[in-house]
Amino acid sequence: MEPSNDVALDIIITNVVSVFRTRCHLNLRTIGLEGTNVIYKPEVGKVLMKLRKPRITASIWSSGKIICTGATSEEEAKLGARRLARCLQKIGFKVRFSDFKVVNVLAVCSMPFQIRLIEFTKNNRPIASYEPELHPAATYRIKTLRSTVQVFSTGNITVTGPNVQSVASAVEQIYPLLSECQKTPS
Amino acid sequence: MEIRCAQCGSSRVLEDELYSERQKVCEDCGAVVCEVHLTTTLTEETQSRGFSRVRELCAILRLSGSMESQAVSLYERAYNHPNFLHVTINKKRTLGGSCILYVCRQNNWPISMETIGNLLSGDSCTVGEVYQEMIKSLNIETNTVAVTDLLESFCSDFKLAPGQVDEVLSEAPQTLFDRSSALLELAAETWILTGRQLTPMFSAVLYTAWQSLNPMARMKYSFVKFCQIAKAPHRLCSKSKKTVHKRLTELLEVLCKLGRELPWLRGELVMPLNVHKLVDCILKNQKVLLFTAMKNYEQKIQEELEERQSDEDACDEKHPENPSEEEWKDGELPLHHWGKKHLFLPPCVKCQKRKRVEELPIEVNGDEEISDGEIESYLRTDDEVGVFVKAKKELKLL
Repeated sequence: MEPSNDVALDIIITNVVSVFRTRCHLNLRTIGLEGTNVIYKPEVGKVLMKLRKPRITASIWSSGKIICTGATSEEEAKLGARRLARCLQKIGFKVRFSDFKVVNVLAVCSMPFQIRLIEFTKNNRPIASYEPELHPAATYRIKTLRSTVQVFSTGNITVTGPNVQSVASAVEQIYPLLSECQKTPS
Repeated sequence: MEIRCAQCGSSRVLEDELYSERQKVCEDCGAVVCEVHLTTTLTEETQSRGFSRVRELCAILRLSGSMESQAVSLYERAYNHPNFLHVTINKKRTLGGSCILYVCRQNNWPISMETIGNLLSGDSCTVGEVYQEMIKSLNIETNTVAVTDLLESFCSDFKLAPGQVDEVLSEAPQTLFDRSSALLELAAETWILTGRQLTPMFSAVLYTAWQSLNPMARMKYSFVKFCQIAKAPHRLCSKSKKTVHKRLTELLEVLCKLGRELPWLRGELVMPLNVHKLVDCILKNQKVLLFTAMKNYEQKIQEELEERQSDEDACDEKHPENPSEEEWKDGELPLHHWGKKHLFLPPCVKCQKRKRVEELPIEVNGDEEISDGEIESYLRTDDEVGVFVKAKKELKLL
């Protein structure tokens, strides 16, 4: 993805979180017995199920709500969620795959320069906030895209947003602000 | 409208609290001029206690009257905000500390979250969380405090001024602060400061600065002894001693790397134990030394790469196409790693990361057919379920 005509940045999606519903009650004990890659946690009332391909982890509640994490694209998240629903169907539950939605996408990107965080925060107050005592990165929240960018002085950034498109737009939007505050080697 | 005492006519009337009852009392004759109001609810009770706590904290920190009144009015505003109305007492106490922190920052009085945390017997992370929540809820702008601004208040905890300790060990506060802040800037430039806890870093920098200002007399004192001499708070030397030693090692390593570039050292070995006498020269010529050290290092690595390339050509070996596949030897970066060319690196690059299992990206659209075979690999057969249940029962009995 190219935020400008001159620079090509690699945006690597590291995690996609999605949710869906099965529209039926699920017996967690049965899932714990009959599933192979399963961890039953009765103390918190959920089951963790891991799939190998795509590599995702699902948290399953007895209400039928399921959260899937670990996918590296929106399509992979949907495929993994459908495979999970099919597993539950095979176990014997009357599962209907519904309300699938990608809720969060986490991506990382590396700028080809280091960044002066104090200058970046001063230039972009109050959207940017930086508390070095708490966290080494400055946080920049883009309300219109519902995305958050964490900027590190090494030039690495992490972007979280509701979908892949908003993550890409966030990187495009923040790149010029970061390049204004780049640390030039002395 | 000025309130006067009915008994003596004095205008010196102050507000006082007697249990839950706030009263206006004449300072001259002690008569109660009027009762302001009685607190009748737990909320009012807690709020008035909160106000008095904020005032006490301001008195301990010796803030001015105007700063104290700003802190109290901000606390009142925050306390009555819906986000803080139904929270625990501890959070309300922390809220008071956060208000003081905000006011101090607005008045260019840098105070660290750790100081507030120590005063409230909590930790700086809790103070930070409540502070950020308060900023967001009240929609107020805050100043960003640079790390170097916090160093001055840290240095004031160490009693090393002339008159407080022996002459040989004493140092003018401003001199010590200037040397410490120069070392801190050097640490920031060479990636020692980024992402690290501040207190151990400040301790290491202050100790090195103190030693470097009179190395002949002070090199024999360990960090613990230094804290005892300076009557530093116990938490600084006990809690994070190991981290302080790590930062000291890193800082001295950087100073040695720069010290070796000083042109007037004729063959003298620059080691962590003898670099303190060179600190003054290093700091005065910091930029030039950094540039020279980095340039010389790049040249050295380039020569090593060329030598290795010619060796490989001679032996007909191929270096790995993907440099990240090269082995790390003794925690050192592989020769073809991009970071090897840089003399000073952030800690996140220097540490070898656990290799991520790279999976081939699967081209999917999310709506493919799912075969029964792959699903059945995730399910136990009836026999397997029976064996599993039996094993669980036996394990519980064990």
